[in-house]
Amino acid sequence: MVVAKQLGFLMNLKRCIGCKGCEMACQNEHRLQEHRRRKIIDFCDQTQVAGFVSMACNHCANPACMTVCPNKCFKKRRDGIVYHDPINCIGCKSCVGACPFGAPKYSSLTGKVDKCNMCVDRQDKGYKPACVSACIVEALQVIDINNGAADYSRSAAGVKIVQFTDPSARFILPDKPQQYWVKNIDDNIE
Amino acid sequence: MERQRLLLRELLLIDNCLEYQLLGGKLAKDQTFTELIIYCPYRQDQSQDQSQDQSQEQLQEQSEVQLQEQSQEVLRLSERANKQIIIDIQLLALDKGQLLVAIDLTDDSCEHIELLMQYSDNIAAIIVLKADGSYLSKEFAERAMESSIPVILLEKVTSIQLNSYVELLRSLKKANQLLTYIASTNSYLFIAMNKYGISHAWSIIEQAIQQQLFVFNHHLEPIPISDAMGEQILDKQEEWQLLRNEFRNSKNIASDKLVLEIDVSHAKKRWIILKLEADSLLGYLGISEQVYGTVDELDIANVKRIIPIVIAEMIKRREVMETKRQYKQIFLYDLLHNNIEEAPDVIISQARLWGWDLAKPHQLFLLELRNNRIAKLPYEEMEHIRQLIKNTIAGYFKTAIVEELHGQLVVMYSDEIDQDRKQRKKTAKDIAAKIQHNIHEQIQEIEAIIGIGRFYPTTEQLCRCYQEAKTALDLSKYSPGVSVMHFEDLGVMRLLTSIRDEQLDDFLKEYLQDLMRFDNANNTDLLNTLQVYFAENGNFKTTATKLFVHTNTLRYRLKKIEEILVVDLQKPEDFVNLYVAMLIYSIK
Repeated sequence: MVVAKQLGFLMNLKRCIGCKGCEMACQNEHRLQEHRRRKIIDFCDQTQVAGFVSMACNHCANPACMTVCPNKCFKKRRDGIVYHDPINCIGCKSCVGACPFGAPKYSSLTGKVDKCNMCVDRQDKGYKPACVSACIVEALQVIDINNGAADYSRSAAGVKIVQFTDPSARFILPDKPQQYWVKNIDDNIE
Repeated sequence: MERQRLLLRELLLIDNCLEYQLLGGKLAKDQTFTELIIYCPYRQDQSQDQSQDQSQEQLQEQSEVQLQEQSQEVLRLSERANKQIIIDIQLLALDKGQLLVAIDLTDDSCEHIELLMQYSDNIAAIIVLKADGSYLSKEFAERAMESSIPVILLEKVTSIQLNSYVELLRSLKKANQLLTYIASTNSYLFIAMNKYGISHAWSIIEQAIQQQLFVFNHHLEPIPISDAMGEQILDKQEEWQLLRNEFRNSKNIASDKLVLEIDVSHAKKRWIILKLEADSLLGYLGISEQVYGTVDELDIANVKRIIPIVIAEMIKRREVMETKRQYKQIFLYDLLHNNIEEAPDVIISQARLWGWDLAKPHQLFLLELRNNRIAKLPYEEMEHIRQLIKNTIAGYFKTAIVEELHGQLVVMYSDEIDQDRKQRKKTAKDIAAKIQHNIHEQIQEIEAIIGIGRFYPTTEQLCRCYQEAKTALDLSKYSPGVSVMHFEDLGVMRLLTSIRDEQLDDFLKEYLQDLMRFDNANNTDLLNTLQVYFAENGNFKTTATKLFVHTNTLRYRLKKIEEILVVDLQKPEDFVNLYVAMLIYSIK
């Protein structure tokens, strides 16, 4: 049997500090203006921000966008990347509605849809995607989901992920927040 | 002391004697001999190899010593110059027909054979040795053909070798190790296979045991190893069916050797089935008992020596098939994931390489096999299921493409474009149910779950059909009792899949949270009641039976639910809202 390869993003929620470096790198790499391919979402623990998740296209195993596109603009490569080829795109926005993660976005400048392609051009040359190489805390990685990704969580803490499309995103969950109090020196003196 | 009786057949099973030619006479199965006499006619040509001459002299001495031990003077050679032998066999205190005479033939004069024929009563067989590989003279061959006793030609064997083989045979028989020895010596066959191919090695064994041999897969379907075998297999269709039935009913399938008896056109026929195992069960080797006689231990030992060769051949074939299949799978992956950039006609011509006709539109199923016993099916089982699916679809006059992709089976068959949508859907579901039934019937522990996509008129849209089948297969697990799911039957579930989870969660909470809280607080099971009520299409009677309660209890409980949730189950809006909420609950 052909061993299926499925590339996907691995997010280490322990490390992400929400610096938006990945967002900026993506904007810069693809010269995007009004819309973003990657977005940092913060999730809240009742009152305060408890962590961040960096989300782009999840390159699902069963991509909903591929099923609905009337012009066959989407294809799933052998490495599992869901690639959007804008040449035939007519901007019908059916994929925008179908994707549960809102990964494809309509650009009014081009009149076409645009989506994260996991920087296939960079990857084909042997580089990491722009967002991954820009992450200073190394919270974002590209892994092969079908090989040795069993230890990672399928859903991020606090942010639920629709499972029907089988998104190829994995997470390392954060530890419970810990707080340390420094003993007040002044108290001792008294 | 009486000399040990040896079967002539045993001698001919020794590695180098395997490839013998019967020049004349008949070789009976129970032909025995006790004594070997080797006659080397005098060579006038002194320029012959000195060492060979020497060895022949030695041998003569040897055989003479042997005979003298019995205080018999058996072989008296007259004047060598006359090239005459006089064998005074009457002097030999042997039973009739127990003498094996070997002639190391260097010149083809017929005198030897003529002379020996005079004593045909006493001679078991004549072995003609032709170690130098030259041809027999026509004259000699004609004489041999008229002979009443078997005349056997052995090429590539010298008289010394033959003598040592007989000695070896004697000692092996004494130690009761003959069968093990024969079964384990197969270098000769390996060499024959490497030089001339497996069909040559095959025919050597078939000749030695004088029976037909067949290779089967692990469901006892014959596999053609050579072209000739393919024709023989076609001739015996009825027999295979009988054999398979008998095999299925047989109780000791686990044993290494299995004897099956079948009735072929009112005549009893025996088959001996040997296992082919390498790591896992590869198949079987079958000996069909022919008119020539029964198969005994000696034959089986002989057949056993070809087993490693057959196993090697089968593994090789499987590897080749696997490689081809990998290319197929990659093509299929590309096709179903919209990954081929070429024009449709290029796709069609590429598919033709695999024998697929993609010019016609195809209906696609996705089949998942669930097995309670083991995680992954072995290769043979998978192959069997694949064939089973093909046969089932062939029953509907359609040709099927069955390929494995990421642990699931992709099943495609061509369909007419101008057909009613409902009719097409019904046919597809019928075929799927039939496939499922057939698989379950053959292998009980396997359950097949099938997802069916919608039909699209062009090949480019197969990718969409595949995704739909995948969705149908994934979501079928939320509809209990349904194992054939058509994408069109998913209904509202299809819409739910493209809604974000948070929204679904909110919807669920909005409609059912009060009920869940009530259940927790009062230790009731109203949520389950509602679930069964929906599953039974709102029928009071069947719901009550399912829940083991009285209808009035059910009425009371539904009233309570209506009170808690402030809804009216008779109102269509409320009913639908609660139904959808319940559906989301069951998916999560």
